[in-house]
Amino acid sequence: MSKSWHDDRELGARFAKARAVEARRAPSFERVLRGPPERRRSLWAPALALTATVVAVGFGIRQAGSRPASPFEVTVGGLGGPTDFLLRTSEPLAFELPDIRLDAEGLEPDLDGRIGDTVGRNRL
Amino acid sequence: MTEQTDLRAELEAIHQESFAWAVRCCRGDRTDAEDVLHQSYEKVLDGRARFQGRSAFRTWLFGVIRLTAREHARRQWVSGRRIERWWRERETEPDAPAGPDEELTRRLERALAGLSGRQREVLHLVFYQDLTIEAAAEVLGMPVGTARTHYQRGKDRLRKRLGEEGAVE
Repeated sequence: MSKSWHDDRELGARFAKARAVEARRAPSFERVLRGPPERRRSLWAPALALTATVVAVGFGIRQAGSRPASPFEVTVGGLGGPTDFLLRTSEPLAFELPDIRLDAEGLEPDLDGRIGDTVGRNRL
Repeated sequence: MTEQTDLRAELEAIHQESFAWAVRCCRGDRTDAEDVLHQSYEKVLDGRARFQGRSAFRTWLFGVIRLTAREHARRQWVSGRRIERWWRERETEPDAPAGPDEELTRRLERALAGLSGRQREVLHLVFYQDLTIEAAAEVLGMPVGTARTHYQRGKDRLRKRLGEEGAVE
């Protein structure tokens, strides 16, 4: 700061005043190093999101034992156990998920009465 | 540990200049500047940004701050937070009471607002931070000749705008 490189004293003096004003308003080094309050608070957001995800996944697993109740639903996992997920769609799955083999006869010999006739074919 | 302590001391020694540069890189937004500076300090202290000694520490740090400000701005636009805050600030911007120095500073800021971003940056680095044009060019990642052109044109334009405001005797 001891030497100026510019060639305009008047502008230099103006900038020097601005620098003095700014120096009075600058937050302390410690505060900046800690991070702005907004950032510190924001740590709660990811924590909450993580908790919500865990709860949602837990709920999904609980739902897994449910059987599909309409053509708009399908179980994913294929074991028919508690690790299956129940998916819901706004359209019958026959149109939404082309990979699903609609005609389960011969392809899914383990399909049983646990799953309804219509939706049983929608098993992944 | 010693290296960490040394770095910290170096950062602290030029903290006010760094903050002023961060404010400039964030187009006058002091909240963003604080966040950007915090991220820059973190990068330096945890080694993500490493000083190699190829330039002065301050020149290098200003480059880090500038890049961090760009990343920050990009993230804010993408998330829409900047737009939201821009509107909020327009609605609530206070008319802070100003002493003579503050008033001069505000005039200078208003005049600077009429310059291109590059001109503002070069003038800030040379006039405000007392960097050489060569160092300013290094911070901004541009050829020295280009920085010199921005300096000359920016200076002429700034004087003209200050004159229009009646701020130059």
